[in-house]
Amino acid sequence: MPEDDRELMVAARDGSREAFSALVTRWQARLLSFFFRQGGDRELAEDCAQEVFVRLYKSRDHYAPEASFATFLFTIARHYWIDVARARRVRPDLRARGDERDGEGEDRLERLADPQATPPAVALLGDDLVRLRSALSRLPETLRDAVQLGVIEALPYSEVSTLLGIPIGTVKSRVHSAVQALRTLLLPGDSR
Amino acid sequence: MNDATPKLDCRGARGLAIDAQLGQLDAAGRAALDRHVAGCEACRHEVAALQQTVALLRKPALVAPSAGFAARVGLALDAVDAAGGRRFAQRERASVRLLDHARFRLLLLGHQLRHSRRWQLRVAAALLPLLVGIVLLLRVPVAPAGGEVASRPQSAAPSERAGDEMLPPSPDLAPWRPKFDDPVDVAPAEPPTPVEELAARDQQRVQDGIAHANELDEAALAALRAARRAPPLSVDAPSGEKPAPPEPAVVAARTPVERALDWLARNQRNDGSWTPGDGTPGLETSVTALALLALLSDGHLGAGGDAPLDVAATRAVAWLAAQQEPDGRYRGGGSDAAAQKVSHALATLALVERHVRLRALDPKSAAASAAHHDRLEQALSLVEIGLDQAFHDAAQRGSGAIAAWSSVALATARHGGLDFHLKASSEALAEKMTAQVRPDRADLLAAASHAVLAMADRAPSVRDPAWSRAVGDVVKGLGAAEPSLRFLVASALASGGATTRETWQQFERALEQQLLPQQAPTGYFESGASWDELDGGVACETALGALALQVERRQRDFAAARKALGGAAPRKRGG
Repeated sequence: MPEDDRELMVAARDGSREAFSALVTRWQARLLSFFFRQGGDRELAEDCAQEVFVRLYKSRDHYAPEASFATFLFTIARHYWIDVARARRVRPDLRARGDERDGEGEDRLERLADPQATPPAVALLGDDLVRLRSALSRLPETLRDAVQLGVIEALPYSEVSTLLGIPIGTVKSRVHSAVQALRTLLLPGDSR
Repeated sequence: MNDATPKLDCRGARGLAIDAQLGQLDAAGRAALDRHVAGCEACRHEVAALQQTVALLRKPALVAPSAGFAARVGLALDAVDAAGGRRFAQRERASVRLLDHARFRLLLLGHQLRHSRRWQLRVAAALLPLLVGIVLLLRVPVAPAGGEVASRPQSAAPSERAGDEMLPPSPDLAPWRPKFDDPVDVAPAEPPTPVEELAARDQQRVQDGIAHANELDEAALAALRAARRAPPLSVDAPSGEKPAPPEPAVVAARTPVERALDWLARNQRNDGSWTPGDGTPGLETSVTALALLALLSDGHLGAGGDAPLDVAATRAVAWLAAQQEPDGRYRGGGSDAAAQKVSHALATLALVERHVRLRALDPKSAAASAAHHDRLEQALSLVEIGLDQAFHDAAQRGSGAIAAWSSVALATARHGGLDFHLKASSEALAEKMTAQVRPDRADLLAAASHAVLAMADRAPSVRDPAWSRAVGDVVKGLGAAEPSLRFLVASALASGGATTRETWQQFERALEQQLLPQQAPTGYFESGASWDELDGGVACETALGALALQVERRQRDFAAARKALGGAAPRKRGG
């Protein structure tokens, strides 16, 4: 079994279900986190992640090894999330604010923390999660995209540039702006 | 990262600190950052805070997949496989069924017609009304009614058929009737016998069935081939967020400067300013001033006009003017003192240059009124007052941006032919700048000193190795040169006082070969590097790119303006 994601995807493209399953195992947590941060809903995140894997599987014939696997995957994921958000007629940031306002976010945290409800799932809970989602929701969408891909998903600037269709300098500038803004929001007592 | 910049200011260090946290900083950048942080307590604190922020953002998975997630994905993939296989199988079975059925019906019918008189009569009776209808539609004569179908040789000549039993022609069919007395006309085909008709129809049905089945398979095959040929991500990547592609015909027809200025106009904010990238605070004034300089160089003076570039320039002037505080200072630069001074110098430079151009065109221009003049003089005084500190900063911090842009703004005011009350002469400015030039690098001050001397129509008194190095570095590595250094070198070269024609031609070739490839089809310039002196992102690079491409015109216009206002003519380029 190849170690590299590209090789695994090429093997999957050539018909290996085993290789594709290895990719699912390897990327499921990151994809789930990606959608969870966007929508704040665990069930929705799992549904989205599953659908993205299905779409990835269906479009495996289009994968060219020159393209980074992460870029390929997150392009599908990002566009799928745009579709989901559009279909629900709810912007992700508004939804997150709504969560804070009506207390649903706290309920959800309680559900996440409940070992019976979501057994092995949670690695980050409580204030950090609430603050992080709240801070992300306050960023303009362009900055949030940049920080989501460039910081949280740790994609190189060049790949974020390809994915968002903007110049590398703009990616860098957006990431810098977003990190500075998040620093102020997340560490309020530590501002310059 | 610009390797030629060994020393960072605090703003640059904080930008690099983020890149470092993200693992996107090269070794040279890391070394420069470490050196700066080692000697700067404020930045040490800032770097620690950024580290904490990035760590929080990157905290491991918020949620882990539930136990059955991978299994559910596996089932979904099974369903995809099964659906794909089922579709092909269904299509194949449908085709085979259609063909088999058609063949079976044909064979059965043929057998019945061959062996059963009763079937022949039954089919003939059933089809007779249909046949009559068809014949009428085809406008051919029909046989007399009587239940018996006459048989005629197909090759009968018209003359032989003149006395045949034919129905009298219907008046409304008359125009289409064959003219039997016309020997040129061909006889109409005889209607087939019921059996022939039946066989023909069945044969047609079979052919249609086969064609339809083939069509189904071909369509499926074509769709499959098209899907395989489709570019990556096209199926699963609804590109709602992708920017619209540029119109190739329009793009190809415009010059690089026009495309750059159009891009700037399209990306101007509603308030009239430009922002580097996406909202980096504090740099709007610098970037807007540079964008205005680029527009001024193309003749858009920001004094009205309906053309998009005129509108952009007018809005930029209004926004910049609104940034001036009562004490004359232009706001900008955020909390960074150096960035504030660069912002002020650039805003002053842009508005002074506009003032000179407007006064040269129309000395009584309302847009260049005495009130404007006074406001600009106030701004210039602040530049002049801060000059000594700027040179001190250049010596202490290795960053010559403030001194360079301040000197260029003052020289523009002094040599623009207007009566600003300034103390420092251009020679004195150049001398001060030359004194601060770092011998080990292509320095912004070396380029600025020559640009200032060129404006004063003065040649450098002694051979200046730093200038030679700056020119050599910019010409050889123009694509990687810092945009502001490139522009100032170009300005000095374009004046002709500090170079030879060969050097200028080398520079023009470098512009064509190294700068133009950095322009995107939509018009912006992007080198992919970051600059410590003036990092204003893509908008900054685009404005400075457009300025570098227009230096000759800029020099020519400035000289003409100066001449119109009573100044001296520029010197010709040396041979």
